[in-house]
Amino acid sequence: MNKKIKISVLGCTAISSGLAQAEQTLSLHQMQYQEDDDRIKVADTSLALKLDFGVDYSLDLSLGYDSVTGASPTWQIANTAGLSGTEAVFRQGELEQGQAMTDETLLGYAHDVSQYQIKRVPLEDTRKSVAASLTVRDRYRNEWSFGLAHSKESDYKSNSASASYLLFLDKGKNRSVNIGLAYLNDETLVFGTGYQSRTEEKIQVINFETGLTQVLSPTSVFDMKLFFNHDNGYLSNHYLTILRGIDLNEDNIVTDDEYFLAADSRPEVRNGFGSKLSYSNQFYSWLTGQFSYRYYQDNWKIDSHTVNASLSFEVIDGLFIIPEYIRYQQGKAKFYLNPNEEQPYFTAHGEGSNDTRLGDFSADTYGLTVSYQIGNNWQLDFSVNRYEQTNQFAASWAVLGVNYRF
Amino acid sequence: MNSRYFPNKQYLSQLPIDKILKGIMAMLLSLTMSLAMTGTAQALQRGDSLPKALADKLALDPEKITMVDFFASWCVSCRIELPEVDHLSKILKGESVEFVGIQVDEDAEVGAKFLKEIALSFRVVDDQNQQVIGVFEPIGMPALYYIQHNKVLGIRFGAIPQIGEVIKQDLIQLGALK
Amino acid sequence: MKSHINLTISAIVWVFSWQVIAAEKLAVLTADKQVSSEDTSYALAPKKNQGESNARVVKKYKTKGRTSATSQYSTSERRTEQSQSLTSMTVADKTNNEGSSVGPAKQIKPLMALVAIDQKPPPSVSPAGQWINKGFTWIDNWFIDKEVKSWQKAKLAQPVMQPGGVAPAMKKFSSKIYISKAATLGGDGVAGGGCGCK
Repeated sequence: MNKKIKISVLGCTAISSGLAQAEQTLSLHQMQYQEDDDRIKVADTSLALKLDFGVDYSLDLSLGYDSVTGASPTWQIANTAGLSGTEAVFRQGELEQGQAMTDETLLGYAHDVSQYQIKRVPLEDTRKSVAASLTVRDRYRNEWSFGLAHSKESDYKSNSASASYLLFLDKGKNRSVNIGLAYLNDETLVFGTGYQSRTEEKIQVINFETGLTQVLSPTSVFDMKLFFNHDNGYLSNHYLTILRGIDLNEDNIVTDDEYFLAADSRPEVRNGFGSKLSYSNQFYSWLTGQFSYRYYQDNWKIDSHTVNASLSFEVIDGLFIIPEYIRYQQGKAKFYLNPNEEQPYFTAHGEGSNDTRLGDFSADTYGLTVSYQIGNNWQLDFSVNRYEQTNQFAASWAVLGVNYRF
Repeated sequence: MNSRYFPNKQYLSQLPIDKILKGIMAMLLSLTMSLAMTGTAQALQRGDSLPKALADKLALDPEKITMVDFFASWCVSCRIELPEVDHLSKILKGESVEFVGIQVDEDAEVGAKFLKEIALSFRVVDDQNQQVIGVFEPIGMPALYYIQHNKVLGIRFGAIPQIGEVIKQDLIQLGALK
Repeated sequence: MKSHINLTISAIVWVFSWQVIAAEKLAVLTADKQVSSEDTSYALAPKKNQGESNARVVKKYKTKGRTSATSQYSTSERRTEQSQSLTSMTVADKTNNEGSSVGPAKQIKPLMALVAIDQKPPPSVSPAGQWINKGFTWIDNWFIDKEVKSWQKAKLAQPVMQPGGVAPAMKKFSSKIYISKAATLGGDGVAGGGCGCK
């Protein structure tokens, strides 16, 4: 088979004996994402440029533009329209009384707990992002990579810096270790009591990763990674809400009229760690398989397993068809209650979340990617994916992209 | 019954002994050659001489200093370096230096296509079965060997920035250029 | 008659060149140490070096084998004398010298003095890498059948064998989705870039 010649920076540098990319590549990709039940819809556009300067330097630049529209379900008060003046004042009073009894942010009050329903809250936002990464290779072909990234949306801003090092251990460059550290400094605008104010909250994240890559044979590679994350700051999702029962009259019973709409509240610190094992094998010249398993656990008591398998079929010269399957399983956070179950109410104090993303569920992803290299310079990519969680959440997305080498 | 399976002693004396012996010698010799060629002997270092069979195959001019360049289509450093090496070979044409490329692509089609693309002005030896490189056993690609009188004078491995300058300096050091 | 003379001269040359080659090998090994302390330009002094090495040849001529072994690369690699290569080398030399031995002995071209490029070629693995590797050599014994040589990496260099595959951009989109729709993150490489999508 007359294979086209194309090397990418990542793999070359991780496994090969002093290879470096010689081509510059410009890529444009667009993703259309749609959740089931007309929930969120996202259009994500990404422009990326890879440049090589001789054998020692590589530069990666990327720009992203996302637009998000749709509605996300969360607890809301059922009927807030047409409230009389006195009723509104009364509710405000109750809200203030409740807020005085807890540090957790309360957002609303309705007379009866049955007045709270899970409703769709519309949202619309655009996000712009930019990232750059510089890779420097030394005479041993070890690599230093430095990266900076920035992204901004209407209520979230993120700045990050990262550094990583790839070190070859043996003469044949079949074994390498890598170590990486990233620091993120984010800001978000958060709703205050009764949705009446917004305050800026900070989030800081440190990601640390280390790994070992070993070439097992001319057609197979094994990789193992360990990673640690430390998040601190405002880690809650300020668009989401929970219900709290607060004993206003201090009679040690929370009656139906003592429930409040409150902000999603998560711990201020999240420490997680995990490991990922990956294996790639080219079974035949036209068939390559990539498999990975990842385990994760954190101090929110969330734990997860992810198994990923993909097969690349080179059907004809330069045309690849890649089916992929991912199985994901997650255990719930310690402060999570399933909103679809009986009485998912929290107390006045402490963390609480009804965000199903923190719950017990498993998910399947079915993906199919087609990649076609046309001539020496052009490559077209197309991908469709279907994602289904056992908690009735599902989404589909498609990506179309074009790459130009020059 | 035995006479069917065992040759008559008469036949034994009629066997062409000398031919058999020559055949065995030839086999042993070729075995030795092939062993030498497959690199069970150690990788060629500075100061080593090429095994005879290899020297014959490459047919290098012993008087000139030959710069042997191992490359492959998938080796990106090779692809960056080859234009520079080619340019240098054009400049130094006719002097006491010769350039020989050895292509180690396993895939013949891809290799041929690449060779056509880069259109080198110096001789390229096809080493698809990787016999030649199996004797040299370089620890990195691309690999440059300076050879004279079928002896390795020096080696350069791996990606080297400004390879043209480096080769020129090496050749000056070897006394091939001034 | 002529063929007998040729044969005799060839035999004598063969025997001597075998000695010279053995001695040259010694000279090269010891020359490494010599040469590294000089910073002269070799273009100017090849003859001088040759004279020196010849002298050394005469000295070492009497000894058998090597008195010291200098390794060009890391200590785990050592040059061992191969009788095979020696035989084939001498045969090659015989061919070389046979051609020039027709005629007076003065016209035999001397072997070029072996001038070292990269006096001490840098080790191909950094010191830190070598040190760390001490803890991982067991992998070679347990899992690796045969070391993959540098020229056998054609398939590994293909994009389809890279972590991202032929279309790595797809993974960037899907990892953003998984981070925002599930509660796990990590293992995809440290590249920074918050998306506010937790």
